[in-house]
Amino acid sequence: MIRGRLAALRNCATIFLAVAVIGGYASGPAGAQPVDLTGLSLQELMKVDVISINVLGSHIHPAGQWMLGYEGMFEHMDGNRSGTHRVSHDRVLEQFATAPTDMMMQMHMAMAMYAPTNNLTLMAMLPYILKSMNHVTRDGSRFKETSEGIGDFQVRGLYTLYAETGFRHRLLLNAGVSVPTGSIDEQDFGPDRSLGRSRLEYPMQLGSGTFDLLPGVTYLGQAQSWAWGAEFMPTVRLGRNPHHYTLGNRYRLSAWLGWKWTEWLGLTARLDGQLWENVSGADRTLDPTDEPTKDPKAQGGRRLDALLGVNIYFPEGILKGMRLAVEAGAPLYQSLNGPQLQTDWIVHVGVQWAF
Amino acid sequence: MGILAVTARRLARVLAAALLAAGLQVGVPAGVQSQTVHEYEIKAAFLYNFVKFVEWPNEVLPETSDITVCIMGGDPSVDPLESINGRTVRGRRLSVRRIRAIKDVESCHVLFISSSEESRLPQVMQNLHGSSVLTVGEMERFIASGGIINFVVERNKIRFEINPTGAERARLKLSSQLLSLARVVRQ
Repeated sequence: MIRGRLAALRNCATIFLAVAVIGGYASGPAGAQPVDLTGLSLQELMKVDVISINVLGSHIHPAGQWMLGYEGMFEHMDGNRSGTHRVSHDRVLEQFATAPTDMMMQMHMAMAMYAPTNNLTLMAMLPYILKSMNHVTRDGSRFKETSEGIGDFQVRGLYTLYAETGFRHRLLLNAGVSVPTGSIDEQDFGPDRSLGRSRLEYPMQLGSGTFDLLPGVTYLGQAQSWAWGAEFMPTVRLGRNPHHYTLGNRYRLSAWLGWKWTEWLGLTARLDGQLWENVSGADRTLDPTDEPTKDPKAQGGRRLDALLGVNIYFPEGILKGMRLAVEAGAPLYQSLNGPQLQTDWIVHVGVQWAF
Repeated sequence: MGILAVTARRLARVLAAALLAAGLQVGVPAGVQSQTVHEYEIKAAFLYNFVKFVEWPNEVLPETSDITVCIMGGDPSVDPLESINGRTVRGRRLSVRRIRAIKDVESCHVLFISSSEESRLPQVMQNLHGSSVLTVGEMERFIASGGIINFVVERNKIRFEINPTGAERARLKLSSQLLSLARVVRQ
């Protein structure tokens, strides 16, 4: 126990060292001169936009502004869980011929945003997804499945319903659609390669195969050194996909707090709760007795993650206007309609440029 | 306790890995430059412009004297306001000073009071009573407290409110051009 705490302290020291190193980079052009606007008249100054992205981020943008972004999401799952209890591979293999042991998922998402008016921001997002899952069978043999390709394309609109003077409190309405550009036909070899490739299980597919609605509501609060907010973002699936199933709806509620340490460095803490339903219908090519990942009734669950993050904003220099956010966390609670792979850790990396 | 310790260790481990990744990302050139401007770079230019449209009594500001612009508030985010130091307006040099003590406010011609000083605002105003100081703030209750010009951010743009009663009390003449651009708020 004591050794574990020492290791945690060592890791914390590493984190602060890394922050200092990053800070060194970020504050490099600190001596840069402020932009001189004294040549502008009062009328002209009243037309100038105040900086729209700060170290704690921004969800809306002034009219005419474009923003490009990248978001990387990394999630590692290790071991199985049924309800809130861990389940060993042997227990899973009492019920199924194969048990998943661990999974790594990466999503690299390109984003473009444009604000046609001060109250409306439009976004388009295209993810590229890589998944790999390891398995063990009753006879002890192990094999790995992988899938890779573009996911579902999303378009979203963010509309400011209410904004208090100075943006202290804002309420945003989200509306979006997910278009089924991600494959639901991913195949790979099973334990016996001589049988050739077969359709991969539900969690290994890259898309939902359905058009999905992405409504939502976001509250943002801001003070001089603090920012806070909460967001409810459900994903509502429409109809059945061509393989006769519908992924479960997903409901997500997040709340966060950010602290602006300096003008270029902020720290964030977030609680992210998710509830997702089982698959309805079934892909007839998947045998639900073969593996829990092929059982439509073992796909739902709920989870509460705690995430800590660092935001770095570049107010000057060659990276001016860029914001880098890194967030990492782990579940505080998860209850799965299992047996199902349990989440071990999550890392998000985001880069945004406004111009 | 055990679960919390395990979660904390896991968080520390993955955050360290993520920061390492972030360190690598920072070195990547962006290639795209932002055209947005820092709030206090705009406010600095507003202060510079306000001085052009205000007349102080002769005994307070003789013909060739420098104009002292004081900044009250220690937050480094207001640093860009100092960029107007040494500029000239109608032949007068602007001299920017950071002040902390309330007793120093009477030596200023223009006094910018940062929002970080909100709790000290009543004392500052009490100290200024009868002085010809152009007070500029950025707080909701600034005008109600007797301030003369108050910045507000609306739809991502800087606007300003003017309290003509406060200006009269300080024996400052504000030009009609300045008043026409402001939201006039009577105290």
